[in-house]
Amino acid sequence: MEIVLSKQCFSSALARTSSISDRKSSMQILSNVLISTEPNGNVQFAATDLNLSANGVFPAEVKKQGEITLPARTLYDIVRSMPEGMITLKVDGDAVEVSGGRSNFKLLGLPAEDFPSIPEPGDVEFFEVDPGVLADMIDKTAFSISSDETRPHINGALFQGDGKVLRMVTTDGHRLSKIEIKLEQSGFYNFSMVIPNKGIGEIKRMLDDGDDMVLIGAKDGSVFIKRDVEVEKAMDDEPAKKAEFVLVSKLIESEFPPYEQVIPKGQDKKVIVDRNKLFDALKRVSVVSSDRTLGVKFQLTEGSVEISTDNPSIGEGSEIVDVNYDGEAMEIGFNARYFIDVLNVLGDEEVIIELAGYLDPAVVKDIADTFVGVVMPMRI
Amino acid sequence: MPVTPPAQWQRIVIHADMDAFFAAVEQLDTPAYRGKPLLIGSRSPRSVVSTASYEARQFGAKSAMPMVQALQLCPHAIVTPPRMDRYREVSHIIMRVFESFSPMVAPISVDEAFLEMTGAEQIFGTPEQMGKQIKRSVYEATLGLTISVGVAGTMFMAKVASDLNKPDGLTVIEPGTELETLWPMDVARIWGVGPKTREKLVALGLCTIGDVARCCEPYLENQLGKLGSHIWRLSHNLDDRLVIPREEARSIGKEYTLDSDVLGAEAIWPHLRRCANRIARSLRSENLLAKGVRVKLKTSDFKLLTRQGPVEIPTNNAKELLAAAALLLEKFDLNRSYRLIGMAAFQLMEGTCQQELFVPEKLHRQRRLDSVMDAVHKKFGDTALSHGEDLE
Repeated sequence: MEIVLSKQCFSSALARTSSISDRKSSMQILSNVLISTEPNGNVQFAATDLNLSANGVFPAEVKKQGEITLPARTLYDIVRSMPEGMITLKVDGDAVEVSGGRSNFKLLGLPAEDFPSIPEPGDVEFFEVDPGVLADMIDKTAFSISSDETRPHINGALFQGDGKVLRMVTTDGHRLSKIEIKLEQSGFYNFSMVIPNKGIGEIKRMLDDGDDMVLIGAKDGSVFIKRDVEVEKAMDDEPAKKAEFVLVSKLIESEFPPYEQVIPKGQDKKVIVDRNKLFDALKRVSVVSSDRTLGVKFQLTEGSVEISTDNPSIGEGSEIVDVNYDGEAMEIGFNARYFIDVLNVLGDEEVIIELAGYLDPAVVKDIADTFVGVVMPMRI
Repeated sequence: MPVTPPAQWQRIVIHADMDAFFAAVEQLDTPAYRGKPLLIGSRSPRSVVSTASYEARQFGAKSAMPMVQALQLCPHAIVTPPRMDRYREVSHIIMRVFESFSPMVAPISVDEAFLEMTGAEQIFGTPEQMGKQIKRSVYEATLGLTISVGVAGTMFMAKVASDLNKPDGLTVIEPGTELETLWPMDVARIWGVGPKTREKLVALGLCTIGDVARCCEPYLENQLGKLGSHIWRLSHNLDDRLVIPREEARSIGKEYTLDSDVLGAEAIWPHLRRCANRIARSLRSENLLAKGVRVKLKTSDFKLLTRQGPVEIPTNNAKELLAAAALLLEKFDLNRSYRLIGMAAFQLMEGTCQQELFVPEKLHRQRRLDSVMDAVHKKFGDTALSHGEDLE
């Protein structure tokens, strides 16, 4: 096997696959990336941790057909540090040589036959989603995915479509984020799936540049996400080079909790507040709140909210933020981090916060009414 | 191949104790100290010896002895100040080794711990093989420190055993041989018998553990109070304490010794409910949540039995504690009659007061009811408001 490809393309292929390879696995081959030539002259790169897999066909010059697996991280580090220009990868028996410019590396590979097979989309029915829309949905919800792997049913994002809206919901048991985007084009089928945390992160990475549509389809407990990704920027009169990239994630089998039931309706106190001012005040005040609970108190009165914290081992802090509110006074405690996270992802100038009692959830909404955040209070 | 445990081992407890720990660490880190008498402490006139190496002990120097006296006995000893950070670091390594042998490790100081090994025969082999493996693992993990291990059926016996062949010892007290081992020993070997108590016991003519054992319990209790009864029980190797891991060590419990023995779940239940109510209220007043519940029953012939298990969601609610206790109660022999009923909440965590999203509505209401009832009790007294089912 002998292939020649540009540094940019090689490093783009490895950037997209090496993050999926599993360095901690007891199966050594999972930390490798599979590189195999295609009959039409391009090169396929693939990686898997058995739950999440990625493969893409990247433009290259194939001098001799063949396939090999190489340690993904090491290879990526080598390629990234090479000078701009063409890189040659040559396999001769067990010896793999990577060379470019005046540098030369010899690496140990593992045979491609031992690499686990990557699920093929086959006859999966795909639907199209705008990459900007999907990226926005992930941005606004991924922060509240539970990081607790022992609770698999919330260690991922619920992703649904019902023909009219696309919906993404995440929760960690203390807070919840839901975004619903109305679709201009309609007609694709109903679906509901829970995509694991790591898969969500990788999907986000493949939406980075370009405006090519994303294709999504599910089959046999896995979701396939397909997109043409840019591997080499456009140069002068040459168009950008692209590669067809497919991400396959096993779906979470356990059922997502009944989220509709915990989104309160009929909250009687409605507060409209400048997002940046509240965000900054919370960041400042939480500096002195307890490291572990990050508890802050909201004292709501007509026209203002006072954010305060009292930490016996550090000191106190408080700040008054003007709000649009004319209801009765109330006091409620929250983990500042939960509010900071949700305010951070909302783009609008103002946000709406709806409250009821001091032990009842707070609802955070954007003005466009696509986002609903639920934050459970803390007894302070 | 799995090893069948000798039938007579009802319980296997290991006490593991590092040999002259501080001195051994210094000798490990500084080769020049090896094989030489070494005293850990300072040379100042009022300083005491924190640890003496075995080489210094040959001259009569020992822990807690004034440094001046130790240096008179062993003038050529090297004196070096303690480095507590380093000892804690090594202690951490040793405790990790212990935890690789058992999930139930109760450290009692930086250099000693109890390990509950009951049921681990399938993994580690006979009690003696367990001891050998622990010794080897500690030696390897610390790159050369030795430990003395005692294996027996109770915590008390295991502790006595670990002290019998120091340093680098391994003593296994086979079931049935405990009393013949214990009885010739000096009463000072009993946990809780210091120099003053020993003096009192000797004055009563009780010099060996056997002498104590041959007394009757009420006599000793009369002479020494509660301690007397404790000493008498240990002299018969009666020790039902459990190895409780550190994070579980703190617990809030309540127990009732009954006027007359009770038989059957239905009779036990009201007492458990009383316990649960009291425990839940204490938890709430200290803003704690329990992750585990322990039920304790004492049979009419004074055998203390305990069962413990987790609660579904960390809680300070009586009903939720009771639900966990109900599962535990099934594990007792309910055809026996019991004289004491107790319950404890353990694995306590600080209630962050962070409210949960997906708490079933029923639980939610119960928790609100709790906070209302607590407020009423605070203002009008404990009997002002009760659940109907708690009325007698």
